[in-house]
Amino acid sequence: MADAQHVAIVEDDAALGANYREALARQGYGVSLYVDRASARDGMAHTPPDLVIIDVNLGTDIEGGFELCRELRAQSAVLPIMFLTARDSEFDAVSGLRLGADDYLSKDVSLEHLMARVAALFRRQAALAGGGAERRFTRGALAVDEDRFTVTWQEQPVELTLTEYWLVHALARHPGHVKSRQQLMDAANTVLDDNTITSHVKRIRRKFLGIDAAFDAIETVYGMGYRWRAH
Amino acid sequence: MRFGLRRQLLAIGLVTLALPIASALYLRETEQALRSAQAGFLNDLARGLAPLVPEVDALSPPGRADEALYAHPLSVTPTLDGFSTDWRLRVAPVPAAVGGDQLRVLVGERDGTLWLAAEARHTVSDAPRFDVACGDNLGGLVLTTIAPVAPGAVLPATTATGFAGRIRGDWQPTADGSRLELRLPSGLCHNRLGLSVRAGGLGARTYRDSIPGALIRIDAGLRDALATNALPGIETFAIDQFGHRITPVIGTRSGGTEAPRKGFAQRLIASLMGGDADAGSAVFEAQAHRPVARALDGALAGNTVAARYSAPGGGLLLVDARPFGGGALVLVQDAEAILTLANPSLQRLTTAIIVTTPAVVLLLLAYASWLSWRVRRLARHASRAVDARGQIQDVPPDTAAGDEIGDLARDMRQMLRRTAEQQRWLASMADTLSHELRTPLAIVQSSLDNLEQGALDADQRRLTGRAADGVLRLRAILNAVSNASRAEQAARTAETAPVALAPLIAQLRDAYAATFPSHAFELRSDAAPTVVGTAELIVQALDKLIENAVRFAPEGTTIDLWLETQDAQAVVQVRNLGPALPQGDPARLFDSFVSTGGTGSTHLGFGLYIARLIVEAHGGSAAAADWREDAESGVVVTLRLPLAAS
Repeated sequence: MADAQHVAIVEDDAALGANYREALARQGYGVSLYVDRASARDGMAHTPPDLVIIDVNLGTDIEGGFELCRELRAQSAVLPIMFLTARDSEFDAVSGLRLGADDYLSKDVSLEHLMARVAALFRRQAALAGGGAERRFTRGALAVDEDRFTVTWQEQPVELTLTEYWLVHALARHPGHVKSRQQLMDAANTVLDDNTITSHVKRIRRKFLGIDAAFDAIETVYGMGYRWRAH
Repeated sequence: MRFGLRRQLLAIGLVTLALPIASALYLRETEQALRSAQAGFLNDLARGLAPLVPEVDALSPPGRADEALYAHPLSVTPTLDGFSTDWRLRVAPVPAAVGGDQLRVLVGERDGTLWLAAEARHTVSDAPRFDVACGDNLGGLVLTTIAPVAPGAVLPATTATGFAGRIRGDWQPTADGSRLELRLPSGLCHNRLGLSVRAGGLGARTYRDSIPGALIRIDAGLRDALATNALPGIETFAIDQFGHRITPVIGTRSGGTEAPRKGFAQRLIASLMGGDADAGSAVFEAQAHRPVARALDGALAGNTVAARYSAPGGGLLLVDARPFGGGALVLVQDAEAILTLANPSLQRLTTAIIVTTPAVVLLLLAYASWLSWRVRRLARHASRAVDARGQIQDVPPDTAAGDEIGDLARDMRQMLRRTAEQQRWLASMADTLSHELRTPLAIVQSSLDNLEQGALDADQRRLTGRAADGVLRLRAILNAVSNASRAEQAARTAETAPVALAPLIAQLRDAYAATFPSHAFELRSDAAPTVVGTAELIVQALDKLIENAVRFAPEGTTIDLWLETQDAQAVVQVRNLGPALPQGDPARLFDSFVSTGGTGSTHLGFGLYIARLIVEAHGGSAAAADWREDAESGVVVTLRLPLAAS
């Protein structure tokens, strides 16, 4: 990469922000750290980031992260935005993703995982911008673009978050194989509890069902996990 | 049976019945005292009267009672016409002692003349022949014989010496015989009189042997003696040994014989006393020639008797009868119906007590019912407010009642509300705490991650490794907590659909066998229940049960999975060998943060808590118990889920 890619972190906790900055800098990214919405807005106007990591809860600005996300998405449709938050409720995740975030991570995530995510988002960004070898595979009506982290079903794009993409990818890669929850978590570079996996899968199913009412490729294997139905 | 508030107040209410009971007893005693005082007064009069009457016999001539003829005093002088209808007597002729209805006789007396009326039944063609016999205690003789030949006046066919001309008669044939009316001077008969008739084969007589039966007549001496000592307001007479009244009724009663009004109180007291009169409804007929009353029988048997009788034509009589000269002396006085009630204020008091007492008891009962209803409603609210685990489910509605029960209800309501708040706070605290810990934990972890990226020597790596382990464990705890609250959330909001349990559990058994190769899993299912719910959540609940069972069951043992249907519920049981449940309430095992320890990694006892949250969200229940079979023992956890309506 020619220019160091620039990551903006909006995190009200100074120590945590500093740790993230250190880790990202070690990976060769340029990093700006902001502690609230106002300074983030000003800073980003001055130094436009290539990727933004936002904490939902910004000090007294309880949902400042959501607000900031909305503003950034309004300015740029392609800027990768990732939520990294201690708020791990289903409701918050859905709200964040609906505002156009590309991913929603709990602060449980390890730095290693975080770096993988950031790298993946950049990769997708690059792939979407064009160029790069076409790495893709198909499973019946499903087509997975491993560069752009996108998925189509019956040739219609399915809007998935990064986590959801990785879950689908992990399942569809080996149809008929049961993936346990742990395996799915590993694949998605995250630590999730059972219920979150369940609701992720549910959300994925719903997205596919939105395209094809007869979608039933993701099968629940009770007590074990999920598998992609081999047709 | 429980002695509840209503029963208690009813018992207290019944105590008020003591008042009418005491009143009734008092009234009864008063009444008895008054009656006996009245009887005593009459008794005194009678006792005072007896010595004033000359020492005379009240005896009629001895003989058989059915041979006796009573000479009724006549108020008018009859016409001698063969009929006794003009005698103005209200008595019927008496059947003869021998021959019965074939000869019926009636005797009257007025101004020294005896009147004799006889009805004989015989064939009309036969000519009757009447014999009139008189006598005294020494013997008798036929005074005259009458053998009529034609209707109308008859003369004696034969007459004992000296009496001819003083006996007159009139004979009339009738449809079934004939009638004879005879008049003779009283002096001809001393104290015995008899009549016999013969006609064809007929033979009837008023006496059996040679001596005629007694002629019972008013005893002039006795009458005069009683008349001399007549008492105001009191009737006096004497009876002979047969019970015949042998004096006129001397004196008059005060005459207040109007029928007594009978109000509720009177009737009640009358029935308390066993009736107004002592002898029931028996009427005492003083004017009868032979008054019939048990009191008189008593007096003839030698006892002084006082008794109350109904008077002819209404009212009450007090009768005092005492032995006198072989017969009895009888005093009769008017009596008040209910002496006690002669006092109007006492009567009003009685009525008031009788009316108010049941009203008070009813009022008390109603009040008690109302009170106990309120208390029971309060208890119902209280027991409904708190579930088996002590969780406040439902705060009872507010009440407007201003009394102590209202205060109690309000206090209880407030207490429940505060406890509910406290419980909510406690429940949310774990969640909040785990949430608040995430950021500092993330700082520690990211610092460690950064540290490990740097150049560390072996010792430093060992230490950061330990710190990382600690972080991992701390995170596991936080995840367990949020997992529980997430499960609760999911159970509340999840979409439901019919879930067939049998195939689900069969699938799970295989999954568990694969996941936990250290244990064997045996499924026993003899039912195919379907419940309404979320399969993922039900599976999650079962996962928790299995995790728990695996944790306690020794390696290599079998964990039993049972599925059956009981009372419209699907029952899933997970049974494992192993240690018994700890002491205490088994239901507490399903609370959060309750762990029975055991082996293994971090365990906060959220498993059974989550299982319970899930089954309760499905309208079911969870329970744990020890089991023992032969030499084996362990724990069985049971989930119950309502069956889907078919």
